[in-house]
Amino acid sequence: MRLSKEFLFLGFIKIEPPWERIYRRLGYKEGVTKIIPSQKKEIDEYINLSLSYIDLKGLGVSVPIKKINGSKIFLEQEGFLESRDLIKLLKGCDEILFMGATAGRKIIEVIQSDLRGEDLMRAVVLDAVASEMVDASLDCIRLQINNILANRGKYVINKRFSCGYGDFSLQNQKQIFHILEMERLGVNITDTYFLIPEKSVTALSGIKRLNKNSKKI
Amino acid sequence: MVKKIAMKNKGRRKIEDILKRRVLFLDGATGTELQKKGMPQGVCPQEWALNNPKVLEEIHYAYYKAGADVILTNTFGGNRVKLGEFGINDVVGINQELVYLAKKSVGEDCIIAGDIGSTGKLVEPFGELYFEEAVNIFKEQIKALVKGGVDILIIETMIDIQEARAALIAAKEVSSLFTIVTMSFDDKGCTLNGTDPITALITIQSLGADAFGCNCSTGPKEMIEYIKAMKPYAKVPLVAKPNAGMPKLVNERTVYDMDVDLFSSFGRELFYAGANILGGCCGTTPQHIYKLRKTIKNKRPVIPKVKEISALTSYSKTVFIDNNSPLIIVGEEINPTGKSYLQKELREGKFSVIRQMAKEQEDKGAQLLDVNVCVPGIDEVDTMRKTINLLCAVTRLPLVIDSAKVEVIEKALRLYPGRALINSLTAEKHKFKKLLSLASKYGAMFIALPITDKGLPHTFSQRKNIINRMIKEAFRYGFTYKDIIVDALTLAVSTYENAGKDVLETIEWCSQKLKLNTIIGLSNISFGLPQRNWLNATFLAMTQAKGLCLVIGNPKSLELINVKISADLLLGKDKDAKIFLKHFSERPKIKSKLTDTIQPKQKVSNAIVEGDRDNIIDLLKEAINTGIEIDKLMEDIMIPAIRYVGELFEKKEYFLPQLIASAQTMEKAFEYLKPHLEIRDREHSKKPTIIIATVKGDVHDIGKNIVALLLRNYGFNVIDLGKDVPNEKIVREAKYYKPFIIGLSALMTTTMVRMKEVIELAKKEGVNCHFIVGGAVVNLNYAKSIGAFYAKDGISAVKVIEDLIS
Repeated sequence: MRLSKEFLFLGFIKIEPPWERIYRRLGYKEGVTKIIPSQKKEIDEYINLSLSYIDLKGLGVSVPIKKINGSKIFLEQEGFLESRDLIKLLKGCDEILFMGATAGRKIIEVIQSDLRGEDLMRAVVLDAVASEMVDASLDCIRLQINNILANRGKYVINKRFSCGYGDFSLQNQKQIFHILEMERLGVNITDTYFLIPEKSVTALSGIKRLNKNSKKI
Repeated sequence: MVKKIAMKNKGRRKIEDILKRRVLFLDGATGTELQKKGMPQGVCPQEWALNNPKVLEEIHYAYYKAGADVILTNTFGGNRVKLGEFGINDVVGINQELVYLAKKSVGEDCIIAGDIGSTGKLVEPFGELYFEEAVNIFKEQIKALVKGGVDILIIETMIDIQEARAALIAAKEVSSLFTIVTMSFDDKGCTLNGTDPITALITIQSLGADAFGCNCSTGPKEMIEYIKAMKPYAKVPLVAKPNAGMPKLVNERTVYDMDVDLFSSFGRELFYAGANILGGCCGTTPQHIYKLRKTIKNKRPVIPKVKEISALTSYSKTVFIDNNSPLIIVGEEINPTGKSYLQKELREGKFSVIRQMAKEQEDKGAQLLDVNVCVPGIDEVDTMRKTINLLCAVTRLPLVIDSAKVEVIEKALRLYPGRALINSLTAEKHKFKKLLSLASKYGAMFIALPITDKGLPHTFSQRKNIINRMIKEAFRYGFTYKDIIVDALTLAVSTYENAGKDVLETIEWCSQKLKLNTIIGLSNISFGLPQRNWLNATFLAMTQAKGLCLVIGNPKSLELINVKISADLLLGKDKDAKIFLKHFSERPKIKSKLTDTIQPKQKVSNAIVEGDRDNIIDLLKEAINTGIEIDKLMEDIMIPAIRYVGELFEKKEYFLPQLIASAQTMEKAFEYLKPHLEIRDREHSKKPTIIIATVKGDVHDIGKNIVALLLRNYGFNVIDLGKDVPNEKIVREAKYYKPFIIGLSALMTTTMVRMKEVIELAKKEGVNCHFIVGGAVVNLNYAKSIGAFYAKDGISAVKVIEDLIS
């Protein structure tokens, strides 16, 4: 029989910066915020600049669900996770897709250097770009895994979940870190569950079989 | 030996013979047929078929009877990685047995194709499987298939261009069999890592595939578009192997429900779109193949008409080179010659300068990037490997591999996931044939630089002779005119008075007489002379008029870009002046003189409101020169300006970067005015001290830094202890500075508990001050529960503290 988990490793993820999401993260409100052209040009230049410092890498790992008992989700060879909120999300799923992504060390070094050099505005923009890019890379991993799964008659559900959501405590970060083998992305975890480099994330989602009414995702 | 070679080429001869007359038909799905006949989910299809040989033989035979010319062995997952997932090690035995079963099922008439599928891993630079490891994995399987007696090879369902390249290189290095490569493009027309069909076709056909196409992932309808798109660039037959529609789940089984009539009608459209080889992928059955063949019968397919193509690719972009298109700029910056900072980085194994150079050149309009990493004393081969891997992540531009060392070029061509250009091949005897052989093996284009062992040619006539000799030799290796770009060899006009004239004549001769594309290294012409930009720009315009296709230059040079774009328009290469208009309408406008009529003090206010950090000092000087008292400037102009910014931020008319830009402008102004401002300083000292820190275990400090900046703007004396600060240190500093308030920041639930500990410890140690907390996970209730005030952002922190003071 097949071994329990399957990996997708993306050595680099190339995505366009999600401009709207970056602006929104920085507090921009459509129709309310007024921005003069020179400031917009400066911010856009920083967003473009950040792209040369961001090294997006990602991992997707699917693990079959063995059984769900009470608030526990037992995984094939990977122990169990405990969360009633997560169980709700995984309704009808027979596998969990674990995803991890990082924007790499370089962008953090540049942000820190900007902070030391008192260029706080640039640091704030680069920070927002890195956060949104790493988040968007999870969507990219999900989409790519969907493409692979389509031929197996499966798909990844739209919603995703992370440690700290609902009753799924941050302490689960360590187990997810190990399932994903995040070291392969050059990511470490601290005792307080921070992922280092800073702009690194994990998330999980469910994998379902296509039913008659499902459209291809 | 002769017989063996003849046997090996049986498949190639048969296929070439069929393709002259009609479409070649491959079989349909094996996996879904095995499942229908009882193979359970989750087992190894290769092992199961060997344990149930009759089932597999029946499937092969049914496809043969349905009219398939080619039967694929059931070895799709027969590589070391895939078999290893099921704990199976015998790659050779399994592949040979499955070839034997296929041959036994259908006899000698049929062409047996060794089927090679993906390892399921992405290959360097996209994934963690090293390129050479991938090549070796495929070699192991292909050797077994060849030994088993397959007639051709089919590398299929590839979702990563680099894995397809690894498999094709492996196939070419262990056999001379006809090799088909097919990749899977999703419904957006890209592979998993973003390769479009045209780019994939150009890369793979250059590398030596005998046929290329698509299979799986989509039904036949989408594939029609991909085949249509590829046809104008296809030098090899095109293949389409669609699924029978998209998968659906019926009674717990995955089914593909496109019936044979619909499938075959799409097959007819694929044929008209230009497919030469047709078959089926997931969900297709012998009936699908039977009907497909019946529908198309013996119609003669459109044979590939393209004989030569001048195009370079990265993993996700194709750049076509021709004399009727705008001049192509090859970014020259990634070259350590004369750049000590880049040499230093490369010696230290760092690549941040290269990363920035690549990005900047792409942004400024380069379409190709020259890559030279030659620094004495470094491992140039390894540095080139790392640079290519890095550049694949940073830029989509195709690369020009620039090295004097054959081994560096070889490594680069082998690893580069696209069709590269070599810069350059000279006519020096010891290197020319070696490099021609490498360029031919990896399908690269090359720049022919007319230099011989005797040195530089000094006349146009000498250049012509050398170029003619180089082309003649290149043709022996299978190159065509379109694979070659001639470097017109730019020498310094300060040294050779005919340098410019010789280049112009060479370009004209190459483009008019030989229809060869040409390139120059622009800056050489002005070497040793003043005002080089003017000379370079003038020379560029002249060479463009003679038919130059590519220039190696600095895309950040405004003169170069402006002249290039102007000349492209004048030479009719910029249709409807689109590029010209876009470029020149974006030039910065001359600053309005209206600003001069504004009062200097108002300009200071505007600069703070608009976050104009660059001009604030000059504006302050201008205001001070009008005689305004500095104290008044502060109280009446600057403080109201920054308060106004705060109001705009609260109303969301300003967002965070604007707030910070204004705050930084204010801070810069403060710093400048400090020496002038003794009175103000005394005022400052009246404002209380604030200690601010991100708590122990937390490494996020941007939010805390914003709060600190704003508090300083409002005149507070801020002691910023940084991030990840132990509780004891915060309390110790508080005892020393006796702050009015301590601000604590935390981002995570795991670290916000430190806030409570700090407050308790401070109280225990007798520190008598207020506390204010903030951060992503902190809220008003939590703040109250630990006896602290709460601020959701920097502006609200200022307000809370000012309220407390008043």
